[in-house]
Amino acid sequence: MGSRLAVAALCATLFGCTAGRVAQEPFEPEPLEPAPPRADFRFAEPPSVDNDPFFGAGAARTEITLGLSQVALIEGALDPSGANEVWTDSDGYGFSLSAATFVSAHLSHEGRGGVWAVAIHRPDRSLAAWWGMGATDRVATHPVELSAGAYFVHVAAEPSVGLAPYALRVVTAPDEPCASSARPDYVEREASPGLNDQALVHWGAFPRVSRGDGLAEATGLRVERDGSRVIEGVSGAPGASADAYLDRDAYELEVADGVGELRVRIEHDSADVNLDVMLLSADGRTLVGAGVEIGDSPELAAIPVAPGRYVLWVGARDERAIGGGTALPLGYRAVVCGRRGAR
Amino acid sequence: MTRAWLAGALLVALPSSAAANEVVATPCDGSTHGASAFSIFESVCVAGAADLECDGAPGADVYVVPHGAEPWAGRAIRVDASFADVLAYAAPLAPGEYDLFLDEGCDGEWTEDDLHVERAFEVFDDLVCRAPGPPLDPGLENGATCRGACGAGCPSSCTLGGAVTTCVEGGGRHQTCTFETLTCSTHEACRAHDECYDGCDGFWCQRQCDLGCVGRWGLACGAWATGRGPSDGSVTYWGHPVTAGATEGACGS
Repeated sequence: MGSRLAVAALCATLFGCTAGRVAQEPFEPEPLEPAPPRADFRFAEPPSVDNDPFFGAGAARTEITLGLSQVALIEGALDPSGANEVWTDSDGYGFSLSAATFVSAHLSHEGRGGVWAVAIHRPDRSLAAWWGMGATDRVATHPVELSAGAYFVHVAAEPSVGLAPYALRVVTAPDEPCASSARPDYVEREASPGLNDQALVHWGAFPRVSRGDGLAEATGLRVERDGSRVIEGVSGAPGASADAYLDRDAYELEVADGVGELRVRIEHDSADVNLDVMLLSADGRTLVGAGVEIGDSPELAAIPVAPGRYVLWVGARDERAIGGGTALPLGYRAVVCGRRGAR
Repeated sequence: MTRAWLAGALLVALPSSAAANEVVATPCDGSTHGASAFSIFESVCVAGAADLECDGAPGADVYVVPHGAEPWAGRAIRVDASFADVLAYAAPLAPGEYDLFLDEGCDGEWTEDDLHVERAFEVFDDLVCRAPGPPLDPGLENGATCRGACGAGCPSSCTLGGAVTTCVEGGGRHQTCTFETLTCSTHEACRAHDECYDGCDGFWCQRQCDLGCVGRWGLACGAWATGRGPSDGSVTYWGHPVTAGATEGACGS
């Protein structure tokens, strides 16, 4: 079995068996055995240390200064002894950039139940890279271009997670947005609100996914490594809401072999509609990843994935209480592309 | 009569850290909450803040005048840069509506630095029920309630308290006032967010308030929005008073 998998990996890697790869693409060998993660800097923090950047002693001083194309590996653990209603623990790690570059944070853990979150903040705590969130064993932020200076990474998880060690990698590397065609690969069929609301999402500090009405639309779309798919949909304007959103659109997707990360970009034309994007498990019950930036278009997410079937979920936040959402119904484009993912 | 005790419930929230150039009427009981209704038997105090100097020291002059009158028709009350519980109008009061003026620079002339609060308070010739704490409904234009509580308005996480009865007296009469109370958790972030929202006039301003919370407190803002999350205390809010009206005699008679 293992050899067949290795052959399949070789096929995909060396001979371009995975559709969407370009024949002239530079040869890019991959190791047959997993290599230990590369790290230019290492830092470890015992779980009992208070490094809560919001309600505690502040982010840990790691003395890490990242240059271009470097990786910092930080090992820590969430300690539930100081848990509150919001999180089981909240850890921060300071770092600096010696030059302007793209930065992303990648969190991996043992997969204990509950939603985890990782974000990059400036010293004044404003968000530099919005939260990556998910209930699987890996969570990441979308790469963001930052100037030289000081920042900190924030790691937190729901109170249900308990004591949980984790590894956090802060990566600087060049980045390019996903290419997208002008013509959509799929257009939403059930544009009326409520018909493809496969999942409801309630918010506290973390999103909570539950079963909704309807089913995800069978798009037949398969996302290949370095390939993009474009979905066009309409976020509607129903009179009532069963969760934190006014409309939810769900689309089935298949992620091809060789893809370790899905990039999602939601584009729309309204400044007063707040669209969020989430990637759910095929049954719509588990949050795999999310892009939840407040208000801005495009909405960006970088979601660690394994090959398989998923549901892409796009929702318009119910912000009627402050006069938002008046531009609904609103058309949007969801650009989804496959990446190998940070190693 | 009805108007009197309903108006009595309309207290104006005074921010815990008063912004410069602000003046409100207060009931001279050390309260940090402004009031918009008084009985003729009460005295009126003022609280607020000034941001210029008078005679070389930080401060301003406050004037209390019948609504529509020129500010300089009243007596100047010298206040410090930040002031509270300063007696402005001693009982017995004359019924009617009153304006407050804050004369920045104490120059006795109307300038753009000055503040004119029209109909700042009203004096009734009946007894007025006054809640001993912040009102559940402060009568804001935006209709917002439970200001400073974590969560939208008065969230379901607040706990309903029992009815509390107080008694006010004056002029040989007394009146019992019964209030329902609601206790909610509060936090510095929630108070700042509510104050930000109440100073807004539209979606984009409120969006900035949300971002301000997220930028200072991170994920906790999502919990606070649902009425949960860390708190640094609790606040008891007071509902509209219910009264059968004034009767002869003192409280307890």
